[in-house]
Formats: sequence, C-alpha cells, structure tokens
Amino acid sequence: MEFHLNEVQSALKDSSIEVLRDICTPQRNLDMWSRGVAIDEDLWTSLASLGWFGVCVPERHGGLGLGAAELCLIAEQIGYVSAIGPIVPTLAAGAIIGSAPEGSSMAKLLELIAQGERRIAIYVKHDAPILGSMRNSAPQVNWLNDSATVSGTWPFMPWAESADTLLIPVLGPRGQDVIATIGSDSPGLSFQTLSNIDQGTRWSHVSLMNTEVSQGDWLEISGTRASDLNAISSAAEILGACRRCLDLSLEYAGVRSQFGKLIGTFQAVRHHCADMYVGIENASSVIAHAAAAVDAGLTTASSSAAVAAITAHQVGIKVWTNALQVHGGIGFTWECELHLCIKRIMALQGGMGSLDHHSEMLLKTNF
Amino acid sequence: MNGNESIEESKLRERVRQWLIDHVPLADPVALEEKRDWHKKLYNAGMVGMTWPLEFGGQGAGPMVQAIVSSELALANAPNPINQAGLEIAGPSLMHYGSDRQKVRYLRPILEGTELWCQLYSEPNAGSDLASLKTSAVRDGDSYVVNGQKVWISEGPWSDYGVLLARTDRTAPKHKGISCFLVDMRSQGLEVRPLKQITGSAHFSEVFLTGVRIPSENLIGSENDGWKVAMAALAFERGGNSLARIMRYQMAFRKLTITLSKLEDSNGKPLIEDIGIRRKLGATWAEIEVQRVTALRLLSMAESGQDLSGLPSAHKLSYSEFERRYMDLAQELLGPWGRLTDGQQLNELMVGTSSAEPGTWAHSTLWSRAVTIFAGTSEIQRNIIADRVLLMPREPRTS
Repeated sequence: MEFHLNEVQSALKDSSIEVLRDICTPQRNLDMWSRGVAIDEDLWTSLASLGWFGVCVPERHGGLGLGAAELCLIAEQIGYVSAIGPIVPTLAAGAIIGSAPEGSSMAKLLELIAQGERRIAIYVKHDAPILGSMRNSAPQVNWLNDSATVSGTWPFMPWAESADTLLIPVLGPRGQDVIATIGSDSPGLSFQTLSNIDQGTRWSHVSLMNTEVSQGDWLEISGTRASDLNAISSAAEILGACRRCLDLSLEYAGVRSQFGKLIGTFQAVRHHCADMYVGIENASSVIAHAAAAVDAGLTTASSSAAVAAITAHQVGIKVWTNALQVHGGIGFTWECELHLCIKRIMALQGGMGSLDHHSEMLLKTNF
Repeated sequence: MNGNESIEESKLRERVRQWLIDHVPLADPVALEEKRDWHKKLYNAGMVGMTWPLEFGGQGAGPMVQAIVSSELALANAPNPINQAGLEIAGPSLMHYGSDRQKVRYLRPILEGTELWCQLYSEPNAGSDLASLKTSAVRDGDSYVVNGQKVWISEGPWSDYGVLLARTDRTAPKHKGISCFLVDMRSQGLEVRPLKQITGSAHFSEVFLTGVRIPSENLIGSENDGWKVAMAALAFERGGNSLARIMRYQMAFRKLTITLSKLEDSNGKPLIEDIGIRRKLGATWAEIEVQRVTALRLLSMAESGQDLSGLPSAHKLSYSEFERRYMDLAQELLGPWGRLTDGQQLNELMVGTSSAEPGTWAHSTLWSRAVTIFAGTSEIQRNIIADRVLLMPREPRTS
C-alpha cells in the first residue's frame, strides 16, 4: 500500500495547481456568475491545449490512459478554485467509457473527448427523492435488435444543457448495464432548467421522448464502476473546496485582530481550524484509498467509494461551517470568495447521492 | 409554576390572530410608503411598541405580550413593522439617556414609523470587540466632526436617523472614550452603500462618514458615556423576537413535513413514512420545543423582574446552534431539492430565513450560519457563560 504520489501524479498535481489558480480567480468566477456563464471557455481551451481531457482516455484512443487516482487529483484542484463548466464529468467520461471497438462511434467520441472537443454530462443513478408526479415519466427503454428507443425523465442531471453529449445509463438488450450516448441535437431531447445555489453549477431535469439510440451509440459498461467514479470524483472536488475554506480561514485568522490580538491566537478559533484540518486529512485518506481500489479493480471498490462519499458529506459541512464562523461577518459578504467554495460544497453534496444512499450502499456491499 | 399561557395571554393571542386574518395584505408591501402604512395600521391596532412606557406612547406592557404579537405576525406571514432599530435601539437609548427635548422630538415618530432609524455601531475592525471602534468625533465649537466607517447597517438606504457610537477620547481606556450620538442620515459627508450578502440580497449597508458635522445637542447621554447607553439598549434588544423566530422554525418544520410527504424514495414510498427520517424529525421537533419553552421561561422571568443571569446567553447559543443542525438535517433529507433557489418545482421549498427574509432552504441554510455570529458569536456567548455565570478562572486577556 502506497499513499504517496508517483512522479506522473506529482507533476499532474503541480501543473493543475499552477494552471487553475492562475486562470480561475475569484473575481473572474463571480463575474461569470453575474453574467450567467455556464462554461469558462478560456479555462476549457487552456485545459484542452494541455491535453488534460485525455488523462482518463485510453492511450489507443488518444489519451494518457490514467485512472481514478489522477481523476481525483484534478477534481480536487477544480474544487479548490470553484472552476465553472463540466470539466470533472468530461474527465470522468474517459474512465467510465473505457475502451471502445476500433472505428466505432464510441471510439471517435473518446478521441474527441481527449482533444477537449466534447463537453460531456453523465447521469448517475443515486436515488435522489422525486415527486410522485415524476414517477409517471420513469425511464423506459425498448430494444429492437441492437437499437433502442428511450423515453423518460432523468432528474437533477448536472451539466446536461451545457453538454454536447449526454451519457445516460440504461438497461441493455440482455439486461446488462449499458451507457447510451445522446447528442445534444437528438430529437425528443428536452430540459427543465433548475436554479442552483452554486451559480457555477448547472442542473436540469432531462427528458427524452422516443429518442433513438442506434447500434454503436451504446456500450456495455460496469454500472457500479461508473457510480463509484462519480462518488469519489465528487468527493475529491468537495475535498478541494474544503482545502480552500481552510486556507482562506488561516489567512484571515492571521490578519484579523480583535481584543488587541490576532484572532488566530484565540483558542476557540485555533480549535475550529484544527478540526477543519483533521476532517480534510481524513477525507484525503479515504478518497485516495477509494481511487486506488477502483484503479486496481478491487471487489471492495464500491465499499471504499461509499466511505469516501459519506466522509465528504460529513467533513464538507463541518469545514464550511467552521470557515464561516472563523470569518465572522465578512464571510457573509458577496465580495468574500469563501461563498464560492461553500456553495460548491452544497451543490456537490446535493448531486452526489445522499448520506443515506451511500450508507445503504456501504451496508449492502459489506453485510 | 404554570407552563400554560394565562387567560389574558391566550385572549391577546386570539384577538391578534383574528385582527391579522382581517387585515394582512395579500401582497407584501414593497414601496416604503406601503411599508409605512402597514406599520401605522399595526401601531393604531396597538401592536407596535407595546413595552414602551405610557408617557412615550406605548402601553407599559411586559415583554411577553410583544413576543406573543410578534409570533402571531410570523404565523400569519404578515409583514413586520418597520423601524426595528428605532423601536429596539434608538427608542430605549433615548428613553433612558436622552434629554427631555430629544424625547419629545424623536420618540413619537419612531413609534408611528414616520421617522426611520438605523444602528451605526459595528465597524470593519470592531465586531466582537465593539469597544475598539475607531470612528472619531472631534468637538469643534458647538458641534462634533465625525470620520469613520460603519458596517452591518439594516435598513440603511431609507433611514432618516442613526444611533452612532464614536470615539470622543482617544486617551481614555477603550470603553470610556466612546460617545453616543443621533445623526441625521442626510448629513453632508454621510454615504450609504448597500452590502451584497452571500444569499444574493442586500439587506445590509455600509456607511461612510467623512467630516460629518453633528450638533452637540445630538449627543445621547453625556460625552464619553456612550458605552453605557449602548449596553442598556442592547439588553433591551434581546428577547422580543424570540417567539417569532421559534414560530418560523415551526412553520418551516410544517413545510418540511409536507415536502417529505410529496417526495418519494426510489421504491415509491413517501419519505415521511421512513422510520429513520421520522426519528430525526421527532428529535428535531423536541429541540424546537426546548427553544420555545426556554424562551417562554426567559420572558416570564423578565416579566416578573427576576435576574436572568446567563440565561439569555445560554438561549442565544442554544437556538443558534440548533438552527444550524436543523438546516443541515433539512439539506440531508431534501438532497438536491434543498439546493434549489426558487419554488418553481415545489412551492413548499420557500421557507424563508429565521429572520423572515424570503428564500428557500438553500438561503435559510446559509443564513443559519449568520445566527451563530450576529448579536454575539457562539464563542463570545461561551466566554460570557464561563466568565459571568460559572465564575471560572479567566483566560489571560490583553485588553
């Protein structure tokens, strides 16, 4: 067991910190929020030119063929700067689709992903509660030979309206897990836009009405691997936002004085920060552990991913709460960048599956 | 010991409830004039400034009746009277320390809502440590010249007057060199700038004072006695809204249970039928009851003039920390629904904050973190309890 980063991973981490912190300044993010910008195009172009979107795409399809560990490294830095756009799902898509038959349309999609030419949205089933009225539009798939028509509604799908291609898991012709690609121009595709507390995140209810999925537009995948990858990459993004919360708190506690002393010298404030640190390190351990388990294809991967998700839920709340408490009034102003991280944590937690869902997964896989 | 409302209290509650059914406007007043009209209606119905002495236009009532009225306003989703800072800060300060001329001139318009007030206390560098405030007031003939910056001003943009704390003696120990003034908010050199909060709205403002002249007759109390004036008013500030806040907790709870009966799990079972969720909800309702009963206990002690000791600090600490847990539970149960910022999908998501600002659970969750900060942070409340109630050995302090 090794928890330290190898050379490639260290280089990836360093360069992602450098690039992201250079481009994604809080002022720029807030400006994009106010203009309703869904994708940070400058950032996307930079990441594409650096070849990042190929990190998880297999080498034979033009990527680097790396795995969940590297996905999490980048997701963490994305969370740190509250970057805007479907970056993490597009990165994860390479890992979820994996290898595709030579010359197939899936292989072509992977090549385009690696080049940064496709924005991807992924639906991951995580049992979000729905209104009774939405049950009538539960997904239906009708297979005829190797093509299908798909209808139904997929609630709370992140980034669907910003994406060129939607990846939606459905039951295959033989009852197996398959992932269907739906182009943004597919007939029968419609969206119901949802307003999110994190204005740098997009959600919508996605509906399909007799949309055709032809042979070649779907691929057999491991459904559990897809949901594990989603859980740990969301957890990693939360971890990054938590680190930012702590860094901002330490910075503020080091300059803010009350009662003639820096507030960082007060025990109550020091303890808040120390507790944040403990949570962050715990989350860091279990996320790295889960990513390694997914990469090694271990049977315990889903269990480890559930632990990572549960920890991200618990630590996330603790950290943003403490960060606001350390900041006091200034943390409640729009100008203070802290709220970018807080809202990112809230949104990710809402979209990654509930504490109950992951607790149930954990119990199911172990007992 | 009697934990029930008295007959008089119940009658008042019923009378107010009926009045509100008959009078609450269909749409919340938006324009200042509409808000003033609503305030005037409430005042004429005897529901504003009830605890003010008779001689100043109040009813000389105890804090319980005002708390009952406020909680009924919350229950009816009625707009609040305007001029909170006038009724709770400026008014009491003037009653206790103002000159006869000031009392005659300013108190009645505060009650009637014809002149609106704000509180100019906090500064960017003086929050928990309010006494370290730096805004200066320098005597020049028969006026003072004021320079400085104030922050966290409610109702700043439409206030007519402000209660201002400023330093008049730099050489004195920090609590002893502060004076309290009333300042015309339209004075030359006074600028109000809205302060956008993380919830997206601008409920607060910043106020910049540059060479503002205040006539010396606008001192409240004596020069350098401002700390005493401020503390007397702050003591008055707490308590009157406690039942209204708890009423809002109860109303949000009701909306939460309705939402959980509409939302279903993946098996089609309404969440409200889930045993794990029911246990959490039951424990939460018990916590709301703890806050409600404690608030009633505090009000009844204040009614009978008993020493409240550290109970107000304990109550503030308790309800604010509870509010966080409550909001976190709602977020946990609602999942993505808790992160939405409008009621388009489900009207019951519009619960409003505990301070009666409109919004969804997402807004009220963010706001719950302000409650552990304003009016004395949780850390300050713990220090007060340890120092003044438990009489524990004190931490070394530099000032």
